[in-house]
Amino acid sequence: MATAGDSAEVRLHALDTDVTVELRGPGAAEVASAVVVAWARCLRDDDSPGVAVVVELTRDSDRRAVLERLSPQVTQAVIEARAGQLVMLHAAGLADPRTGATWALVGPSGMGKTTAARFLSGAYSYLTDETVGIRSDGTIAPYPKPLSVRYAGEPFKAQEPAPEAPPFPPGYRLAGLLVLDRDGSETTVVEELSVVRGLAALAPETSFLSRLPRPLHLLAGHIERAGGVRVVRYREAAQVGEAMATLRNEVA
Amino acid sequence: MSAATPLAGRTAWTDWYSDGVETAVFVRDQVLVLSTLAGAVVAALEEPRPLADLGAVLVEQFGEPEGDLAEATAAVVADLVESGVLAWFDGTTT
Repeated sequence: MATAGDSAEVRLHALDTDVTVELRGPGAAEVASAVVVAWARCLRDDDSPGVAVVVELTRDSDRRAVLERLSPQVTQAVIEARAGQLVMLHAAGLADPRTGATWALVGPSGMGKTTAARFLSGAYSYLTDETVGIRSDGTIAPYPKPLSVRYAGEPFKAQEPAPEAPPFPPGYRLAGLLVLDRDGSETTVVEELSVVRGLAALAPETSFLSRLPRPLHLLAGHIERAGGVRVVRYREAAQVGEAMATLRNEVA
Repeated sequence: MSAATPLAGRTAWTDWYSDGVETAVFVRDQVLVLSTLAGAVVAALEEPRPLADLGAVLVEQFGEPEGDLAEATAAVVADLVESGVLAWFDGTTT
């Protein structure tokens, strides 16, 4: 973090992208301190300028509102920077801390990605609750942003620091693709999709897919390496964890 | 003497993928899953063709339809044109 007068910078690295959050206006240093706490797992030390995300502050700025808005601002900046390079799924990413095998829990807002990521972060390494970036070799570009959690009665989503995760130097690798459907099923239903149906299920939850070369073939390759796409119908996050454990055992 | 014959052909898709059974086409920013018959039509149209030629290809693969071949072929092509997968092109035969 760097501060000077009414401005401050916080340097982040997310989704293989360097980002510099430039805070300008009254209280910049204080807000920057809060950003450092919330975005702890995305901080970087180097001085490269990276993609700029500018946040203008006023005397009336509510720090909670600023933090809530910052999350989609950073997300937009990094996915635009990686357009045409990564397959980017609107998904939570959870990795086996011993093997780096990573599950992408795909779904639109409201399907329980953040809830599942939060609930399962004890057993799995949290990589993101927003965007799973898949490199052409099947490895994952982490985006361990703060968890955006809505509490009853609170006007803004809380930006909770990403759960700690041990480093995994060999890199994370896509190993499972689940499409979340929180339809209230008390008994978990897991439905395996063909590759073609999987493409149709995943495509709406991608960013800038058309910017990639031969995108359906690229995505189909990731689907095949991940052992297919499965839809999980459920009610509680624990059911997603059980489905993941069952599928992992089937593969083993 | 020459006559213009409309040819059915592929539009400028982003991509398509077939696993040999099912086919997906990425067009107009969405991925469409095609029926087996529609997938065969798309596969047969590497180059634009008149409907009559296309019908013959489909008969080779699926046999004679119960109704009129020309009508059946035209119906499948019309659906694919409507969804943006195919378009009509001007062709000239001599």
